[in-house]
Amino acid sequence: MLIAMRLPLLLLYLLVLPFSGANNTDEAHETIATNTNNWAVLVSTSRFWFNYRHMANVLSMYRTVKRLGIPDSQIILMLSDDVACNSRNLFPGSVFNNKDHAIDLYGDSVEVDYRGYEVTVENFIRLLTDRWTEDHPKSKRLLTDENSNIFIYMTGHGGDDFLKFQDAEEIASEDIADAFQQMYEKKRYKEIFFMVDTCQANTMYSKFYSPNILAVGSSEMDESSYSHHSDVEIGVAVIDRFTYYCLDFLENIDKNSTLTLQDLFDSFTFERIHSHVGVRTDLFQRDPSEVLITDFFANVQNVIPDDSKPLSLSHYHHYKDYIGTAQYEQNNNVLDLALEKNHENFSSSKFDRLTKRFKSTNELNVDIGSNEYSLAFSKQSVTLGLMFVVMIVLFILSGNTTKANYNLYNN
Amino acid sequence: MIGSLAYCILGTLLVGAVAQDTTVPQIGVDDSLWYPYDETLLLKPLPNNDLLLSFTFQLQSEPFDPAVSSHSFDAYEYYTTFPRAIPPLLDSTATRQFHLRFTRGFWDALSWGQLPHGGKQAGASGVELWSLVQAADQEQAFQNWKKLANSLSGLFCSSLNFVDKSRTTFPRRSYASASASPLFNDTENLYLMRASLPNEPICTENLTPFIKLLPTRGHSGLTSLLDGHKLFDSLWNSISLDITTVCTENGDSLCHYEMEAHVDMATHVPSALARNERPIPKPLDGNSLRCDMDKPFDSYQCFPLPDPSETHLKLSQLFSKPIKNGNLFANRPTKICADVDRSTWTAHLSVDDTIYSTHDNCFELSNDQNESGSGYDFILESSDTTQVSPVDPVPIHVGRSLTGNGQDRGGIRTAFHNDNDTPVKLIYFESLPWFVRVYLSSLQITSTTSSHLHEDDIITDKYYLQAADRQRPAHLEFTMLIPAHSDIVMTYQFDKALLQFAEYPPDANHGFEIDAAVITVLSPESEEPVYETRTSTLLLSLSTPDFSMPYNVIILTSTIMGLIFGMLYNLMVKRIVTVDEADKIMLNSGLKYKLLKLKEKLLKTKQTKID
Repeated sequence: MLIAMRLPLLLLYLLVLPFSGANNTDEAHETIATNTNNWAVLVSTSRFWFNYRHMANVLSMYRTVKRLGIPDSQIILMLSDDVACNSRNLFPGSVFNNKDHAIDLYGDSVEVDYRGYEVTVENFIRLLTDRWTEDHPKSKRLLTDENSNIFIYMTGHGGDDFLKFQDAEEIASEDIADAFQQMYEKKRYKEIFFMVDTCQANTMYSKFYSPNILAVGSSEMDESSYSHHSDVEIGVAVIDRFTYYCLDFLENIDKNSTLTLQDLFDSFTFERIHSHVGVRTDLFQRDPSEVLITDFFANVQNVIPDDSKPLSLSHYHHYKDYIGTAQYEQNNNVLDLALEKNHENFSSSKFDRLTKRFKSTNELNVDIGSNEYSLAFSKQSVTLGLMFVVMIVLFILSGNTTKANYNLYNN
Repeated sequence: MIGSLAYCILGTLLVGAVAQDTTVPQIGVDDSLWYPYDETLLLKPLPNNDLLLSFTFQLQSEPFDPAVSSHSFDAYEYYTTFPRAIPPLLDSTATRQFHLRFTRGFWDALSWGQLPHGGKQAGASGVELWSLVQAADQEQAFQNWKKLANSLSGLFCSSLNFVDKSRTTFPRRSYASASASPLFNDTENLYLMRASLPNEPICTENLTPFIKLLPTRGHSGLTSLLDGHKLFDSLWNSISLDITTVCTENGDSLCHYEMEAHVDMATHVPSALARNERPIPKPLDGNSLRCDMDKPFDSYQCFPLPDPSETHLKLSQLFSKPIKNGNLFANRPTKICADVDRSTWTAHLSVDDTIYSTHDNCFELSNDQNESGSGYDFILESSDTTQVSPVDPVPIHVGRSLTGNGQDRGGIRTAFHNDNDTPVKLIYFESLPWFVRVYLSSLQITSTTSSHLHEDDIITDKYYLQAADRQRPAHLEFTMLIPAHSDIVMTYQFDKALLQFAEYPPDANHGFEIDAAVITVLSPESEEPVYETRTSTLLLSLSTPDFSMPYNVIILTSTIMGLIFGMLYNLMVKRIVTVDEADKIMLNSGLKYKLLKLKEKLLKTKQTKID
């Protein structure tokens, strides 16, 4: 009888199982980055001298990203307070992230796009979604396209699903999630790497629902992120632990490094950071072990070499005369070459073609803009609901037989 | 073997052919090709071991025909040294001139005298921008001005985008030097607009784009000395940019742009040099103290001597690097001058271990001397630094301060001090934010030196445009005549307004900055501006709300309402019973009982069916 009771449940579960998956991979699994440009948005959200370390965090990331090749025109730097030329600063024009003062983060060539009172929640959301008045200068806009990889770094004081801006207002994780969805719909990014270093940082990426976002936060909910050390001469803490160990890893990276993001994540341990670093990979197509650090932090593009390129102008003329212009052009058509290489990646067998047709309807929905994530979520919830109802019914039918019998006999 | 020999010969021939191919044209400096770029450095020792350094950069653009629009088919733009970022900006906003000032620090007029360049290149503490815009009406002019301010905020990494109607004034008589400008369209007018962001932080991010506008871009010439670490360590520094449109009067009706960029700084030399050895100003050890031998001196007592009055100052020590080389492409070579008192000071130029001196202490850096590439160094030596070339006395000393206490009203007090034998005529320009509600009827002129003072004697002309809330600042422009050897004090009262909740900045308790007043001294005969100076900015403390109160009120009210509701609900709905009673009731009417009943029903029906 027990098995009989269990069987319909099993059948139900099996029927619902295919629909309960949340991930729908539309294309074949890409392993290399195909972005053509890299952008960085570096935001510090704290005001006042004692939040020196947040400015130092952001400037350290700025320096790293600039060193690895992203130009100032593709970096949006938002510093909420001026610490380098602050009258409290014992070293005018310098910002340090270590008490040994080995690196001057401010240096000689720094371009801050948003400073002081300009760093507000409204400006940040406008920056991401590119909704500005016509007067807004180009250097302060995020001019990304569908081939851009964006590295977004935020630091400051935060909490459960919020981040404090300038001690006066807050941005909620839902706001950032909605802004990213707008960016997705407007095709303003290819991949986003979102890094946040605040207290309870992992909650900031919990609400994302747009594809191709990889997020890392420095601490779990109800956990604080700590500063690393203080500088007695400056008088305040100069760097946060998470960013310090991030930089520890990144300082060894140069433009042709083959280290991956998984290596970066593996370098974060609780013993060093004193908080649990969280990574969110479910929205990201590629595995972090396939993503190079330089895909986000550097300005490295993948170049497809044109193998049949003539060595010199004379070679071109010679070959053209030898094999005829048409044939030469055909052999050397770069467009054809690129298409060929593209087709190589997506080798289609019969099953793939079948799944492609099956999934094409999903793709159509994505283009229109329907929420893929919520569709999957509703399927999941329907499954769970059904299972729950079935279990209740079974419980009612099978439980407490002895007591019922007793009552029957009593009455 | 013959084949290999043939290959050898072929190889040598080929190599010969390739070697002959190296007759590519050489890129060298054509001596007749020069570009309009002048850079000058003036060093002037000031009293108290201070030093004034003035960098001047002058550029000119290629001529253009204003009648030809930049959108027309034949239009082209040709840039040599003039920065490419500026002309499209001027063209799209119909700006004929703009002047930008980034100033920080305090200019000690009592010790140092007049501001450099007659005060025309210095601003008030913060950022100041004024421009002459061509437009059909005032509204269009303001739109162009807004666009200009926004573009400059992106170019110079400054918060100039905060310039809006509530910060912009249209000066009447001040800034008159900006009035002579060509009009490209006779149906339109020129509008002068000015705005200031007092106490805006100025740092390396403002200097970097400035340096990048200059053709040498910080790599050679005087721009190689400009370094944020040294510049912002000074007592007073000012970075200024002036762009003007100049049209030639001859028949070809061509115009060109002129750009003048200045960096002025006043440093205290001993502390600047000490920073090279001790980055943190810590007290000296006992061994390195210079003690006065005439007074009691032992291991416990030391009366320190004042700063040494002999100096051997090298520019490379001050800036931690020599001047790389002179600029390589300009009409006139880089010039360094020292304005020193010849009896006690000497100035030399040092390059490649050779010391040069000239009769007028002005040196030209021509690159023939700098063969080793080690750069130029400038040496100032003095046997007595207290003897400096005389400072120009300031025509008028002005100080402004806030008076009164309390959160609802206050006053502004401006004190003028005229040391000269002749009366000084000046224009006093003030732009007050709208929340400072001025009572001009409370204007009073008092004096400690002259009695029988009439207001009309001092203020000969008054212009007052009232503020409009959130639309316009209060604009005061007085033409004043300060008598000889007198102290005049001008006071007026104001009310402080309350701002709306969202208008307070994030650090509202810091206070609100009020623009500096601009004083333009006119020459007595010709009424031309002779000297410009600015007072300090003021920090006004307004009553700020407690921003946590909405949260507190909501929490408290919700808690009380919740408690009241909860209590009433419990009283009305709940009944207190004993535990046994409760068990009995539960047995007959609880949830478990209901589920049992349901199960019985289902089982009974099944049983009946089987039966």
